[in-house]
Amino acid sequence: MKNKSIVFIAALVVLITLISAANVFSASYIYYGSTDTQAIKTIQTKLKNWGYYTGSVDGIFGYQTEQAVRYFQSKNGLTVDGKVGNETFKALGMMSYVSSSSSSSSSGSGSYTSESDVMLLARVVNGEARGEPYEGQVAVAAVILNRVEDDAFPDTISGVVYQNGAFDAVADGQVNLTPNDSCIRAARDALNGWDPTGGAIYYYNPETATNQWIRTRPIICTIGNHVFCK
Amino acid sequence: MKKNILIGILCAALIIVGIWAVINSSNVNSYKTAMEISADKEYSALTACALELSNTLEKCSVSADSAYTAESLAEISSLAARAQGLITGLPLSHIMSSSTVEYLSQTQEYAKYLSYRLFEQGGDLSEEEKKALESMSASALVLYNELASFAEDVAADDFKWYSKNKAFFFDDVNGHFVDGFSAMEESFAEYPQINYDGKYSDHLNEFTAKGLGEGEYNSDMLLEQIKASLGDKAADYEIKHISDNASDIASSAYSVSDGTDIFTLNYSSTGGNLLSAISNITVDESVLTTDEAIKAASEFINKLGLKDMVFSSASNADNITTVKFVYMKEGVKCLMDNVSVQVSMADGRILGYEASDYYNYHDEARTIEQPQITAEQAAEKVSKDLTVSDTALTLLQTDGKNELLCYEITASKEDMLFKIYIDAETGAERRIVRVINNENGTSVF
Repeated sequence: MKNKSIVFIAALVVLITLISAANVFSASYIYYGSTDTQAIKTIQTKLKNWGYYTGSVDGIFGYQTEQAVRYFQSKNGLTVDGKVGNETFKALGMMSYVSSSSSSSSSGSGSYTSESDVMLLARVVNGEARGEPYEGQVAVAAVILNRVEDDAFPDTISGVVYQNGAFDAVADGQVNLTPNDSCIRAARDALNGWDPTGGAIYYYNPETATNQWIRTRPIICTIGNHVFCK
Repeated sequence: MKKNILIGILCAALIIVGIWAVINSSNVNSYKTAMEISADKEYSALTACALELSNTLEKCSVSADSAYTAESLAEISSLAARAQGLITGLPLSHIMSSSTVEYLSQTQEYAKYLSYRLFEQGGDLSEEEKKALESMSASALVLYNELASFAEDVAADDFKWYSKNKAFFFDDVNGHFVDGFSAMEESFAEYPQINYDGKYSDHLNEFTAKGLGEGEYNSDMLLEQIKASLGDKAADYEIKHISDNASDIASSAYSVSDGTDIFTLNYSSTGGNLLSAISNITVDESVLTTDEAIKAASEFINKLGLKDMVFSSASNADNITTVKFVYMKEGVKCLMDNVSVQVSMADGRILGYEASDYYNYHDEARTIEQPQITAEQAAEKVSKDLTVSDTALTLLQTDGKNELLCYEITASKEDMLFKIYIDAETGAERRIVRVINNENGTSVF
């Protein structure tokens, strides 16, 4: 009985150690066992078209796909690790998957935003609202853009996103995850002028919000799990 | 033997965890130090910036030379923008600094507006404008004094860090900083109103939509309106009232589903106008040409009853083309009265619609003044390096949401295309946008 406990504790300690170490390598990579089928299909299609991959385009990142990625990386002067990260995404021409830590500011007239702005918005939407209805995803992106236009907030998208404590997805690092197609489209729609909130600058989840101040803001509407307010 | 192996595994695991903990602890300390240095640096830069802002505002208020005043105002705008960027970068909560940020934003835009006017027209500042600048100067001094009084504490590391929702904020041990900052925030919240033709002018708080029309529609009436618009097909859809929205344009939202796809429609309570439609439909292929998508979008807005709308631009992403139209009155394009329509490039189906700008700014009673210069005279105002290809009268919206009659001059330099807006009254260059046409449509910036 005592031995079993020791084995269990030892296994637990080793497991925790391995999980801690593994966290360092997670995020922004697609590799053996990843589940982002859409991205994997795109990778497989490109590798197949260019003669690096002979398997089927099935959205499963298995041994064959990893070998094809390694082959592609070695032929293109990239670090050969079998993982698709920023450099490999760039070489594959999958710019929408390239993580960006900075974004250029929008112009004063707000008439144009760069692709990096789209992706930054999409990553926040992914972190904050990926389980929400599509309209709720557009609404979260619109809140960020409404803040850019509001005098009480920074006047760039990156300034608003990275304002201290503004978004949980930034604080907990989820902003660095690769956004899905729905979040990217939601970001584009918001940048094209769609705003289901009609001008909200705050939102919160009434089930989980602990900030009492935000509950005092005038409510505009509720979409999915989020309450949007002025 | 078995027991020794287990003890060995346990010891090895403990050693690994111990080493990992030491490395991790060292890293955490390094990160904390780096974070503190960064915050100290931002705080020092903000304090210096507030002092310079205060000094420049004071100098500006005693200048008798128009050119010097204009230059000082440009510097004030730049300093206020910098201070705004620095304060929003500090580890303070938004609630703690929002009034200060509002003050800095308005100072930035007001100084920019005055600077531009003096550069263009010369002359002096009015007494009212001088008074507003004096008030801004006094506030900048309050900001500097408050920041300076805690500069020593920040540098001496008398601040503690606290974590809230995984974000880190700083707070002083004795609470003086928070109290001082709160008092300063209250003084900024009582800041006098300033009206000017620019962003953040107080007159914008009074803005109401101009184009909604008449009649009040409750959610039941709007529901019937949706059913009527679907006609015989209404029975094929599940139509639900989702919410009443207390946005700037009061509205009601509805979901319309055919069992597969869901559209969310938003109708204004005044006038019963369709403000927006949004759907989560994805499109896998692109079959139509951009011209076909524009035609489909045009037919859609005609069905909605919007008149005198002309094509403005089209852009494509994810096999969906977003087509923008603007209202034209008496041959003048009114850029602010715009609508956007999303069209599936697979089959021409309408996937989205957005008309908030149209209903906010469309004014049937709008009168358009006669231009004081001719199109030829306007074309002569643009750079000689450009080749002019088109000229059109346009109503432009200023930052203060006023309307300005301009000539829109389309011109190119080598392979770069520009639209240059020349004031139809004064001939001044008001705005330049660069236009990029590619396989995905048109982008302007």
